[in-house]
Amino acid sequence: MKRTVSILAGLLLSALGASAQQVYDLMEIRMDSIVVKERRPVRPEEEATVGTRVTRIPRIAMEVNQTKSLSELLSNNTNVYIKSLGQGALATSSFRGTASSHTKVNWNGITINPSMSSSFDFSQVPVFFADDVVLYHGGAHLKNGTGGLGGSINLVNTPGWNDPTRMKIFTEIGANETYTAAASVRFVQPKSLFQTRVYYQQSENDFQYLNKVLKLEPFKERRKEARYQQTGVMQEAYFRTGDHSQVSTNLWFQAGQRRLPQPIIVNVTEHEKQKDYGLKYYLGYDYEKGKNAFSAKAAYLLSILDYNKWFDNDYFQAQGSFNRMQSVQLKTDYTRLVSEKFQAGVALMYNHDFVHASNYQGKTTGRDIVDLQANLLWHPLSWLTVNGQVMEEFNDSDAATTFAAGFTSSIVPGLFTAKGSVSYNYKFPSLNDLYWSPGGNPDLLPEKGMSYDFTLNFTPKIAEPLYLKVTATYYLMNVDNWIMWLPTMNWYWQPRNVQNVLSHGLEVLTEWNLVLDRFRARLGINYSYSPSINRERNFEEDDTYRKQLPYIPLHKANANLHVEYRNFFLNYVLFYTGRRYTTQDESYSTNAYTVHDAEIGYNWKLGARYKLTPKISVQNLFDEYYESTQYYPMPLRYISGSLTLTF
Amino acid sequence: MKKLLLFVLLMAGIIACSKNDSEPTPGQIQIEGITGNQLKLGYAENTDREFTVTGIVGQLTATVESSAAGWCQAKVEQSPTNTAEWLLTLTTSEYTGTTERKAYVILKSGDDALTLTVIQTGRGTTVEMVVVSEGQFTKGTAALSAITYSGTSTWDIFRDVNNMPLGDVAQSLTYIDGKYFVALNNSKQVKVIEPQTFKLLGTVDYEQAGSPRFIVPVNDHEAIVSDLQSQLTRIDYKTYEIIEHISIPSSIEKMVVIGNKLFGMGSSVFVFDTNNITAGGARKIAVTGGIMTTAKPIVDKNGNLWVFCTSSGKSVLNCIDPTTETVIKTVDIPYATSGTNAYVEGAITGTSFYTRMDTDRSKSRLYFYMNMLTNADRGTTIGAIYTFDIDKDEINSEVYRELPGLGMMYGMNISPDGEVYLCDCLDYTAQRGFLRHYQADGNVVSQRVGVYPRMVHFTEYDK
Repeated sequence: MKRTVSILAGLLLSALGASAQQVYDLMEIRMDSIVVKERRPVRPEEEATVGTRVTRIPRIAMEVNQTKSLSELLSNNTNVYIKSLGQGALATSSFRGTASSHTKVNWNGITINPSMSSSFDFSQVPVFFADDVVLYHGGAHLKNGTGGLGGSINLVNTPGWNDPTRMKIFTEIGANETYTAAASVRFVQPKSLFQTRVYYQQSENDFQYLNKVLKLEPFKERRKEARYQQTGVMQEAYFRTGDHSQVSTNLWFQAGQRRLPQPIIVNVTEHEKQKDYGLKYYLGYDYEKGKNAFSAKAAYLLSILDYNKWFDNDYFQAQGSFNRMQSVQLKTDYTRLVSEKFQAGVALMYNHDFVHASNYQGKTTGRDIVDLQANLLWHPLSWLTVNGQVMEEFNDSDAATTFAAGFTSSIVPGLFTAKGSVSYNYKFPSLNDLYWSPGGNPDLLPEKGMSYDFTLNFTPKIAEPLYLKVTATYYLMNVDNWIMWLPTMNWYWQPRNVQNVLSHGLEVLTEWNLVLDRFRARLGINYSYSPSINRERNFEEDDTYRKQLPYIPLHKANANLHVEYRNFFLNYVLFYTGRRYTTQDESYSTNAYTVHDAEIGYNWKLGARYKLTPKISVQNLFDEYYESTQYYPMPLRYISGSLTLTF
Repeated sequence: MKKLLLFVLLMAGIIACSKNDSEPTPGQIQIEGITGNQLKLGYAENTDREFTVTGIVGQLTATVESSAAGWCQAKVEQSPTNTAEWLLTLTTSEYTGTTERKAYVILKSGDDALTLTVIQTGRGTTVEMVVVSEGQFTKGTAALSAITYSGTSTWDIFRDVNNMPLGDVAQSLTYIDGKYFVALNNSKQVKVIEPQTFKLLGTVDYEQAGSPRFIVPVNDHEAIVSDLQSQLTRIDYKTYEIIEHISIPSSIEKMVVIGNKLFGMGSSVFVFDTNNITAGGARKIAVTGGIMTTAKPIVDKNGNLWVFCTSSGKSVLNCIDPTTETVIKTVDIPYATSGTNAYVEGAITGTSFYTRMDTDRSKSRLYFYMNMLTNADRGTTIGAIYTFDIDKDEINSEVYRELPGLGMMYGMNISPDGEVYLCDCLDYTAQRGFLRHYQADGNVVSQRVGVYPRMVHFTEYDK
């Protein structure tokens, strides 16, 4: 058994480019330590994507952002570009220059993208409800089905059997009448573990700014119609059903209601409110013994979106829509270590979506998706691992075959690791694309294309206790039949296969770690260069040809500094987003911005068990006016204070 | 002593010179009010100008160099009040050229002569037309494109001048009281702009829901703004304030005021007395066919109102007598259908969902957009402009302009001279469209303007 585990761990470490365990441990790259120390439900998927670049958001960043939403966490700590309509408002992603619907979002291995639009709203997920956030860059990760052309974002809950924490309570008060409270309670027995998390946040979100775009003279105003409220409850339970198996179950309820603010070029004379309700239930079984690893998962997802629009007088009729999405997912995954050099696996996934939407003329619509996937991992040389995957997806009456292959290699052990992948991926049109009324287009073709990437990890030995890790990736992908919603001659918008897109670019991450007795510091710097170009000229005068796609910044960077001295800590975040074009011919754009956030706190230890952590944060330290989406201002400088009790 | 003498002589010289400058000396012709013997005129100046000429000995004659005689005339006569002075009258005509022109006026008196250079600037840098582009909904990319007589253009001149966006979804531009009023559908606002300079003068901000579309003045300080919703909004175009929102039974788009009546195009032709624009004040006029609200209602030279409608298998022009509020004439524009003898190349097969109608300076001819069959076997069509002379009973059978190479017609306007300008929004992707000038000789001059161009305003009508 020990031999098997060590071989599996060895393969995985190689696959992840972690040839120098010592360096990784010291740098707190959690992935490796978790893999070695405890069983994790997503492990088989990691094994199947050895060529894929994988980024795990550091533990520190998770803690710093625990009162925030996933949109802020991703924006400040990863290469993913988040296009936000404001705090608490719709926030969608662009991963490697692709559209928001091309980012797959998985929760404990279950795909949770809404079946109607495919675009995930990251503003509705509190960071507090995830223990780990892992990014798979590119489309090579096929285990969760097709569609993740840009990559996938994986939210993971882990039992943490060895974590001594039993309760965590925090509360935060911030500017613009923003209040947050959350708590988690853990009940740990040798064979069972229960964890309950609750979260609540509300904000008037009525910050003041200078409006320079609406009237003759610039004027100060407060953001209107931007208040929001979020509530969430998560109940986890884990059972050790034997030495080699575990049953996991997780129920997550999330409710939010928010006003939908207008762009500041609009006189606000009407009101829009959206209520989102989400219920996610997951039941999983993991088994691992000897050369075999098996997992089975079942999930039920319910999502309700209730939209209303009304006016201050009775001149106009109120409007609204009510859409209910449900999904049932079943997944099984089996992996066998065939020999010391071969590992093989198969996976089967079934997904049934059914939607009742007033936007589909009140009809109930659905679809069935079956994925059958096979993968092979080969460890031909001590310094080389390769893998291949092939998947057949049956989407109602359509079928598509996709594949991916990758390698990882320790070029210079302890110094240079290289990995790469090639994949062919597919994305079927979303249900909105097909059935939205008016405009749904049943004749749409799937988006599809090849993607390639190559990653170098560089871990030079500088001088202990200073460690450096540099990861650089070049990627290239084609996406043909790119779907866009465009106006029609019939007054409504309709999706069409309009463009073929070439997206290529560079992703660089550098991590510096300094570890002394009483002083620890980590500096992480992300940079991405993301040309995403339309390479289809639809007619001679088409000025979108060879132009950057809207709302995909060519340059994006962020830097995160965390410093600890004794019980004091400091976090400083800087994020830069380059200019983004807002039209397809690059004729209009919105400004680049740089925003700084800072916070200081103190870990006050009360006896052996209790820890009280007061913290003060200043977001947007230099009071920068900026817009993630043009004419939707983001909050200017605001201060918040929080108190966390842990025991 | 010599030094003193020299000083005296010098001072005398200076005094003599200064006296020479300020007072006319006989034998030296001078024109009062003109320096450097140059007179600069604007292109539109066609009035007589009178100048006093001094320094005349005997008679004064004025001659205009022959090449400029067609547009510049000079006449001199002795002043009836002061015989030492003469009066020069210069007459110039309005100029429609783009580059400046010069006339040399030679004044002779005895042995003395003076050449006055009259320079008339061309219209070159003057804005001839303004193209209104909607821009994308919620994206704030509405634009005004200014195109000068010399053909140069600034595609988003409002933003360039004011360093701010025009707004969200521009619908129309209306000249009222020396200013442009631009209705911004989704900004829920009307922007008031100075013509030619495009400086923002002010905004009319909606105080309740609405989507301003088109504007007409109804008296000396009020205008009515139509709406996508069932309301009209009365604004004060002097103070830029909302006076009232008026709930009406049905929405109205384009409007026209004839006398003391307002005619609005909606599900029917609605008529209001301008002093009673209220929900209860609307009257309806029954027309043949369904009203195409995208087509501008035209007031012809006789004061009658023309409305473009469509019916089964045809378009119909309805002529309305605004006094009696009745249709006095209809003109059918039948469509050729496949399988009939009429279904041949050149036949009219229909019109656009966004169809447009306009007139020229004479207001005696209507121009409208139709689909014209180009290949009967394949059923392919192109856009074409057909015309109707209002005194006739049928449309002119000859196509006025064929419109090859047009992506998607999103607006059409006719210049005062009858030139055809099409707003082409291409394939409706979010990119800048074209203004296409379809010339009589078949040439097409295209200029990129804003995103989703929808109308052209000709500054000749800024009166």
